[in-house]
Amino acid sequence: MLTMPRGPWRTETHTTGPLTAGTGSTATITTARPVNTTRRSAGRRGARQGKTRRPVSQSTGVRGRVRLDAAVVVWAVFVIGLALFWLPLRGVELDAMSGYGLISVLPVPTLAGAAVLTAGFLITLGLSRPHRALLTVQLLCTAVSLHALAQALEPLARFPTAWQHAGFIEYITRTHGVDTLLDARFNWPGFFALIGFGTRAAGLDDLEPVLHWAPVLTNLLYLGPFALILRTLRATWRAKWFAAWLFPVANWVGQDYLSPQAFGYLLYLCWVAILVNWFQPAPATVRAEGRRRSPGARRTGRFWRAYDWTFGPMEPGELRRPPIDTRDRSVLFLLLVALIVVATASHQLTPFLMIATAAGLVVTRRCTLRGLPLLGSVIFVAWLSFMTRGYWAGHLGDVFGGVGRLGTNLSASVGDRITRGSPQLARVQSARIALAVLVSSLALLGLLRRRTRRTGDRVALVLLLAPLASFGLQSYGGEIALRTYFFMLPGACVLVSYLFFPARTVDPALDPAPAPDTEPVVVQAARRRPRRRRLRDTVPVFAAAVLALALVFGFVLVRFGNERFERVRAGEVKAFEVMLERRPKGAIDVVWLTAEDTTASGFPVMPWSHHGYERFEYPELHTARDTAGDVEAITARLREQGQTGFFVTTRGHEAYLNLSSGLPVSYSARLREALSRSGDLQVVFADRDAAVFALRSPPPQPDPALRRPARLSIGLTPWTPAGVVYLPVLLGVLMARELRRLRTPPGRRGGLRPYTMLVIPLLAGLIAVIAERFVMLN
Amino acid sequence: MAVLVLLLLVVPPAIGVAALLPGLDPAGRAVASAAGALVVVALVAEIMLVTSLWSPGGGLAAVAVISAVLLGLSRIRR
Repeated sequence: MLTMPRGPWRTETHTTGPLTAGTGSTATITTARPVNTTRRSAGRRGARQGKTRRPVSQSTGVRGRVRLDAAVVVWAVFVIGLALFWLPLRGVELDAMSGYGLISVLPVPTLAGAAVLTAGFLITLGLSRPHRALLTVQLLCTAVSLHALAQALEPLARFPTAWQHAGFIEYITRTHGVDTLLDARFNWPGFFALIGFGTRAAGLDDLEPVLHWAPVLTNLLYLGPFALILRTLRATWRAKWFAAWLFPVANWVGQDYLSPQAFGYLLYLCWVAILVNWFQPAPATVRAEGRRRSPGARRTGRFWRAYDWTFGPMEPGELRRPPIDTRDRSVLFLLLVALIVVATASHQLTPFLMIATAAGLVVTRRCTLRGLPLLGSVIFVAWLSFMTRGYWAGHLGDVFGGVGRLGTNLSASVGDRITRGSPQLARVQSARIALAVLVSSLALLGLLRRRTRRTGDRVALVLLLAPLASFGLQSYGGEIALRTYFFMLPGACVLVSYLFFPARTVDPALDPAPAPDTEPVVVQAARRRPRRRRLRDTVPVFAAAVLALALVFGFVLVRFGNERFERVRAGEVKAFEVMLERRPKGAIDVVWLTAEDTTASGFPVMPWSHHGYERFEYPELHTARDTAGDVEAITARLREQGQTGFFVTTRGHEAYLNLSSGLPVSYSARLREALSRSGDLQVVFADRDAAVFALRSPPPQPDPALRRPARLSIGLTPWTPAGVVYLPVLLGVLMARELRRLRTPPGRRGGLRPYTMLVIPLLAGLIAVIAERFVMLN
Repeated sequence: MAVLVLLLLVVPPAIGVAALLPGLDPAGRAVASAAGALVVVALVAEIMLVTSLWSPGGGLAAVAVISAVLLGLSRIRR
């Protein structure tokens, strides 16, 4: 089946040159490595490699043909897998879906196709050298196949919240402004402005195609910066490619639709990629770390053994990229600042994680821009104070107590609480938790495995742990665990991959000789490697395949596990258009039925407000679980609303009531029937997907006027003008300080002192102004 | 047509940023300049919105001007 590497060290394929794991320019060192190395470590290792290089470089003839055949076989497996996955999807009956979501209607060959695609990728990982084209095509096709599954089957863009975001964008392009009181998300309008600008400039009036394909596109875009992160790691090509493959597969969180968080995540990945590629300290500083005492002194006892294991000498888990010009680094630094400004203006959580990650990298000495976390924090807090006044003014306690409300709106369904309504949905939700726990714990095991090999993966550790800081920031309506998992993914995928492929590579071009006192450690680790190579190479690939299959099937189950109510049907969109047609002007009150406590999320599961956002209100009504009682209550509520009132029910929302609140499946049909028979009500719109009812003769009430929009304004207090002056000066000084640091050779810090002296009073002044604003404006 | 305009929106600033980063390897340069282009367009959109100067045509022009300035800066550097 596979051609397994023969000679010793063959599979420890060393990566060389400008190695890019994800993008695939990984080359085996077996032929590239100079025989006559001048490295101090050349002795033992060099001898071993010298011995083994020969069979590889001579691998022509039969061996070459066998290897080629293996690649051809994998190509064939891949094409078969793709065909098995996609071709049977033609006849899928979406309406037959059960509480398990999309997986319940998927044909068995499609699931088999997913398994074949996965197996094909893992077989490619088992080959003796990286077949870059094959790996890239398989990676991209797996990502597209998994993430486009529902998009390809459903005629309309899925996920109701995406339609609300379309509503924000429509509002901005129509009114050329925002209304900060309409929705908290309008205080961070950067992303909506970007999409509004782009679609308007391109003359796109219909946002549906953008909504429809955004998840697929964003997942593909994530792979670019993630590949840049991967190439800085000291790992084998297998580890890197497996990590790149895990990334889209483990991302079942569903935060990749057209949303500020999806955009923020892309910025976050770019931010991390730039930091680890071009702002890592010189290797000399890296090497000097991890040693607390002279190598000769040995301490015994369990404690010291654990201590030495934790803090003892360790090879860095990262490679240093070839150094670049200071001016290039200055441009990259300015790009980093622009990235965090855009992220701050677009999303409330992302900049916080950017700052946390940068701070983590600084603390672990993997980032030379030591002032960047402070700079980022100033931008973050300044935006919060000056630009989001509409969000916090008047209820500061709520905001900083538990900023849950806006997050829960976003999660129309991706809740992490287990429902009691439907055992099937509850199982899907448990599977989500299980998958998150599985990935996180395997990541920790991977970290430990690398540590036993004396490799300190600080960057991966920071990427894994820094997102946990967000727990301290916001509650996000119980959704923060999900968001944290989402942000932990880059680090987690790398570390999970290390669990199976832990060997590190040594790059002759970029990796200077280790200091003499670290060499025994390296050799020691090398000696511990098992001798039976075939087994050693096959077992990890098989183990990785088992995990990969579990993750792929887990993905198909949980990613589209809420599909019965996350799917958007044509009639549901039409229902809202009909209401707008019927009332071309003025407010519209959409009465809807709920069976839950709506204090956390007071909105129906419908594609609401995708047009005319500011005109809709959503008064809810608790169901009496009895059709006659509900008809009476609905009629009474519509009378209260007068001519603005409509009662709306949709299939997605009915599925939600059934699955999440345990309302019987037949209840909604019976209610619709009873409503249409009621003499007080008329059917405004009805089809299989949705129904809209209104009073036949609404009580004559004056049409309530719409509230004037609250535009973005910074809000004046006595000290605010001072803050407006301090802020740009402080940002300028902080940026000049970092630019100065880039020009200062390592070890010399004196040049920064004047900037630091300037920063302190300015920072104190700004903090005072921000505190004053919080007090005065609240 | 729409795709062409979108390319017109993103490609010039990407070229501008790439011109400012001559020392990077191709893959790194591609990702950094794509991020730069995204940031330029997003900042233009954000500033138009906050300053009540919303105009997609004007924004396109602003992006073009910024791209030209970035290219000019790279010329000066050389």
